[in-house]
Amino acid sequence: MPETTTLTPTQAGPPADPVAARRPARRGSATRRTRRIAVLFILPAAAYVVIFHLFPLAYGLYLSFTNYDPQSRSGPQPVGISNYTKILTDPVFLSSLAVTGKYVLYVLPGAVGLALVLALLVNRSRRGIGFFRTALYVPHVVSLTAVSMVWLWLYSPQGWFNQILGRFGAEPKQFLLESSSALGAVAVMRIWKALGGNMVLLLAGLQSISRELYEAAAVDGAGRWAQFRYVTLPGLRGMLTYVVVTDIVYLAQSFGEIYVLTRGGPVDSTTTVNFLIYKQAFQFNDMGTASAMGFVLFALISAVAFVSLRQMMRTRS
Amino acid sequence: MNIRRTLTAVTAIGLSAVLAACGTGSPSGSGGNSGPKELTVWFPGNSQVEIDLVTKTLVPKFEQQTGSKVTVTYVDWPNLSPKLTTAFASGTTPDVWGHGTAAAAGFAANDRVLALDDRINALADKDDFGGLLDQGVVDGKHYLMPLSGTGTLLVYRKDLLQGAGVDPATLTSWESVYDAARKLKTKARSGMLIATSPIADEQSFIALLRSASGKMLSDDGKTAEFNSPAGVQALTYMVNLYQGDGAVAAGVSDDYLSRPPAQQPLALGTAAITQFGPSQLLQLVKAKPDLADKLGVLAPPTLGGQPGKAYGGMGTGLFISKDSKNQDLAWKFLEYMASPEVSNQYAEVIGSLPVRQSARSSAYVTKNPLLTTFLAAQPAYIGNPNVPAWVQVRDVLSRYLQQALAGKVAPKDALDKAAQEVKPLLEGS
Repeated sequence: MPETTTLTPTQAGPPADPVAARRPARRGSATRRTRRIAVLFILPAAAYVVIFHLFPLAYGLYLSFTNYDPQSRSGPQPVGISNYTKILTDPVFLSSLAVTGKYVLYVLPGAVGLALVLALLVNRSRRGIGFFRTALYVPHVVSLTAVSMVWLWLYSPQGWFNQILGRFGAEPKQFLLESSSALGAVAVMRIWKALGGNMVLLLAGLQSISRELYEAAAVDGAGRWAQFRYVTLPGLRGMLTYVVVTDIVYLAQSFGEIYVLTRGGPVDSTTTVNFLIYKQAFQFNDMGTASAMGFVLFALISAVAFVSLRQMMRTRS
Repeated sequence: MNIRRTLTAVTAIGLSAVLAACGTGSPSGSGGNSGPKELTVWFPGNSQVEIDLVTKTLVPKFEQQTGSKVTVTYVDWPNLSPKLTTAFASGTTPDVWGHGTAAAAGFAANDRVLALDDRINALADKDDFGGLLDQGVVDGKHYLMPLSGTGTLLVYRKDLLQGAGVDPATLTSWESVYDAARKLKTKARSGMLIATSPIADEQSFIALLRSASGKMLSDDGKTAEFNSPAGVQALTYMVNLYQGDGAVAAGVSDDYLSRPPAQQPLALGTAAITQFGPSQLLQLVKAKPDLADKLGVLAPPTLGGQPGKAYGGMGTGLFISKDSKNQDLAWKFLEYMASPEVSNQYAEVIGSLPVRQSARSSAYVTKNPLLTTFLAAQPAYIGNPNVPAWVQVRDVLSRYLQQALAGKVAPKDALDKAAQEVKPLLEGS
């Protein structure tokens, strides 16, 4: 059926000013061209995100409802929500959640608090301060695996820590082999590793606070502590929020240092969720359960990050 | 409209590509990049001397003999299972790969490996492998060709035993070894160390269990039997080494076997007796030549008067992929690697036990007297059960062994809980 067009009175007659009438049409085609170019520019990045981020995420979600074993030729078979019900009652998974939470709590205060102290110390214009800033940042640029290997030796019976203990006549301590000390030992290494990165971010935050605010506070009689409490902390809150939230996200996904230092032991005392996912997926070929664990972890990290963000932003407002 | 169409097309192409990459793999898609005379082979490990021998000497010779092209990839042991898993998923499984016996049943149950019975039966000298070929048997079929032999025995420092007034000739039972270890223990030295790191703990346990005439699983592989009185006796022995007033060892779960040779407790004198494999022992002697005359090896000790057993047998074996397009060439490669000359050369370089009985008189064995006891103990070597869920069963058992070794759970309770937890895994096997 042919399309019919009804002309409105304004469209019916010739325009009073032909130039003015052409202007919107030209503008419209220019806008379309701009849009087309914009889409072409966005397309590679969008395709990358869809193919390498969103699709694997969706595929992982699908796998979490299957019993997929890559060794098997039958492919993924749907099993409903049984993977989720199984892991939520599995003491090993629940223990790994607790270990992950404990690990975040062990590392976060040290990694942020000490980084803030260091940032305050290097936030001065003294001779040679650049050297200290660089030296403190070095652990951040070294790979986590390499750092973990170094600390594996430091904690060994012949390592530095035991040599120091020996100087004081103490017996060698098996830092990574006792369930009471293993997670703490890994956390100390992770704090050391995280300090540099956090310090640089907080230093950037400190340098964005106007000097005038400190001068005004000093004129009002504020001492060092009052200046820190009422000028520095409020001025840093945005950056602190960013540091805390990203640290939570990264720490809750810890794997590399656990793999190198303890392999989840002793007695599962350092088995984080990510380490358990690795075992489930690549030692037991149980991709369905591993995917379900991944999505539970994802949900928990999102929830904790969201609550932290809300809480810190609310305090700010 | 055009934009929408372009977007849809690009997304569809992208998703198709990803879907293809995430496929579960089909027989026709496997076999790596092998052509008619090409083989892809994955070897486990990262030993440079082994890599040099295989890639610069053995494989070029095979290529010359057969006119083929062999692409060898060495995969570090911890990465082998993840890489194989992704290879199965993406249909890029190598034609041949090396692995331990623990994975054999899983591969066989999923129809991933080729049964080698006809080919092995056609070998004129198959008896020369002794009992090693049987360790690659799953449901009555052979799947593995032995590449290296191993065994785990107790190795001692003669000078330390002499200093404590212990005669090694009297150490014929686990009980007598424990008594000696009590005499040898000092503040800075463990009397005896056995492998108790996760996975290795299961190997120590099965050696003691079998020495006490116990069994890991029932004959049909469907029921756990490791929580028998023999199992409790074996685990109690292990726990007593590390816990309580009579403890003779420090550092439970310490993976000392993974340390460099010069850092081994025997080299440092921080232990008088430790469990060792032949290659670790030879590496230790190479790193510390002055120790060569100070080390001795004990035959598998008895437990409760029963004949002693030790964990060992086939170290690594070679599988052929069921999906290989070059199965005949792959078999030729296995035959070549297990041939008397090549297998002996391979054993000498990696320091393993030769896989062939005829190699006992080779120069490699005769010039290394420390290997004599390891070879003599071969009839006493036992491996793990070949059931599809073995890797998971082992992990569960190891978790409870660790709890018992740490003194958190009594041996009987730990084994009962482990038996309960592996029940569904074994029933589903």
